[in-house]
Amino acid sequence: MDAEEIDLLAGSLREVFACAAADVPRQLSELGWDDVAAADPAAAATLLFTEKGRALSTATLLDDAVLPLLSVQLPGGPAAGADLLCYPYPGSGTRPSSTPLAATGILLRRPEPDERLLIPVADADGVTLAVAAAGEFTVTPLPSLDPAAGWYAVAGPTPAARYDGSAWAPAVAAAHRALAAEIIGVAERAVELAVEHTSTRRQFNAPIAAFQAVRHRLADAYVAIAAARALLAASFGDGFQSPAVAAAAAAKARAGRAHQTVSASAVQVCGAMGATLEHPLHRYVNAGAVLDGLLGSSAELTVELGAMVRAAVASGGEIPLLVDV
Amino acid sequence: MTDVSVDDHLVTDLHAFRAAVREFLAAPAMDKWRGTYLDDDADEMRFSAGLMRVLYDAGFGRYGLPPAAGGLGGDVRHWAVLFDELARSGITPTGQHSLLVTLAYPLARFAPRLAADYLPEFLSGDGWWGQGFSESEAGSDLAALRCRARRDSGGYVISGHKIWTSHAETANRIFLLARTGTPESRHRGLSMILVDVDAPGVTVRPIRLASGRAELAECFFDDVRVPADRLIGAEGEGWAVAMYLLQYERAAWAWLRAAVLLQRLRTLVGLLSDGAAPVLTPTPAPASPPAAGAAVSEVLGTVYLDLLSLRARSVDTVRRLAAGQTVGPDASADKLLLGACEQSVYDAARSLLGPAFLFGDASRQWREEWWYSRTTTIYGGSAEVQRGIIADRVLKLPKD
Repeated sequence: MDAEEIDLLAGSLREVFACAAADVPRQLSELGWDDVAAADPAAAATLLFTEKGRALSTATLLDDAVLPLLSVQLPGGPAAGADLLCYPYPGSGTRPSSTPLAATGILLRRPEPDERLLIPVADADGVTLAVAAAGEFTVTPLPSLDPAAGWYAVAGPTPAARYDGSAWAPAVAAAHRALAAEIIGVAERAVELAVEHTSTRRQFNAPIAAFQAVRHRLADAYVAIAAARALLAASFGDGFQSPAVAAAAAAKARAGRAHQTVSASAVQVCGAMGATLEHPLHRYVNAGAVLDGLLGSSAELTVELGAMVRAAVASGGEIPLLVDV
Repeated sequence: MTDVSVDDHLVTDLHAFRAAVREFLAAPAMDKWRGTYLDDDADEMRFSAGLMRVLYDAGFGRYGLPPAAGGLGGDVRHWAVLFDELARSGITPTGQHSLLVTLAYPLARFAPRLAADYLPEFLSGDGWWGQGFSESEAGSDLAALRCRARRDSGGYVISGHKIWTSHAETANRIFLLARTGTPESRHRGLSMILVDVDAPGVTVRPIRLASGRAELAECFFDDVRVPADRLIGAEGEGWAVAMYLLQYERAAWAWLRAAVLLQRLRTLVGLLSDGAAPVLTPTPAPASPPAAGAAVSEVLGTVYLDLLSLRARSVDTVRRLAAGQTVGPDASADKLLLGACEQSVYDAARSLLGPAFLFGDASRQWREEWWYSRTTTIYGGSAEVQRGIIADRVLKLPKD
């Protein structure tokens, strides 16, 4: 996909994401997004989720991207799949929070009672998958830093029937890449808001963006995003020497870290105005933070990657370089 | 020039080049170059000249440059692969390599005849060149430099002073950025000239650094006569040559540093898992509690992420240069990421090794390199200058 094509598609996606969240899948279908994704999956996924992040859309596209990767493992193929994925309750990294006894997790929207949830379970010998109707669980709105997220908490007994969960790791990798792109989109927009504010807000007879302290913070915010974007692009790449799983986790970890850098700088340079409900900045600060909490936060993934590096060296292996010329 | 059978396959197939280099470096004959550390820079440069010769004779140290410049063909990615493989096999890419990958390309581009005449000595380890840009009064503000190259019959007469020139104590030539225009001409009145260090009137004085090393020097030019054919690019084109050169510093040299840093991270992780860190205590350290384990993993994971994103960023820049494209102001992000990464690795070593970093002979190299890492956000365009470039030219923030 060349730059011109990306610009054109980004414009179309902005119109799509301006619609209500529930309408987004239909609009994407009308746009022929499936063809775009088939032609260049990496560029399409990056663009779609970056634009979703920029728009702060709550469309549940992550479910649409991840569920097909898991549902094929169930008897009867995709037709026997689920309507919503039950994401691990934050704090368990990339591991399912559900145990053989108790199912817990997060839904990206409120389910109808007869809609089916796909629940990853941390079983004794690895991850298994369970499917059950939402009506069998307690589903409550999940209070969070981002009131606009619209997420729900799930709790209930873990269904006895469980299926092969070997697709969990690659599905998490796909989700990590999508979330990285979305967090990057959120962060990009936050930098733009900060650039707009500091370029127009005047003090001491100058726009405050003319002051070096402000310029350097914004430059650092830009560099943090550039680093995350480069790592995300590389995580799709064919130059990878190690499992794509680690690369995707690294991309999401770096995106989460970039969002923290951006948030700190943007909030500071937007002054008191940026801390009001009237100014949109807080929405980007909140949205990126809760997305970072999904499927392993930046901090959790960083620990996991550090442990991987230690294990690689301890076993006499190489530290995966993840990208080659 | 040494006779080497040219294998075109290695020019076009980077995977094959990597495999061939890897096999060559694995040989026991290469063991003498692994894990070496000399605390005197001049000694180290003379020692690593031997490695340059070995790589040159094998041919692997000649890929990445066209035959007209003494190479065997290929592009800047060949150097990237060579640096990766050297570091992987426990051999640190040399000081000569650092200079070569930034100086060779502008020379080949702006002075093909000089490249043909002189790059073979650089590639083979017979000589290496300093990069004479900074002056006492022209650091971050490079365009303010005053070292003068005055036209005279048949050439130039250089008078002035350069400082912070890497490896100049042992270099045989200097890539000199000098003023040929008026004192007020800023970047328009500069020219790049290749000056021999043994020319009458050149004095080099090493600068002892806080690290204990002396890899930098100041150079004095007292009416040094240089033939006109030593000009790199046209007169007045020096700034363009310098900017062209900086692209290679941002890409190929950054890649070299990332390879070295990964090697150092590996060494650090090995030290931590061997329990070799507490050099002051005669008994083995107690097994670390799980919490400490997670804290260590977080530090190492952060360093690892810094390295990965540097490489992910750098790979794009290296490929763009290899494809003949120019690298714009965006490369300042690469430079900032490199500086952050250098400090991330050595700060991690300092914090995780603890007392073993501060004390004992075994960690002399860590301490010295930690000091070096402090300067990585200063030289080659300070981090402040890079942030300024991004603010001005990428974010386009208003100046007043």
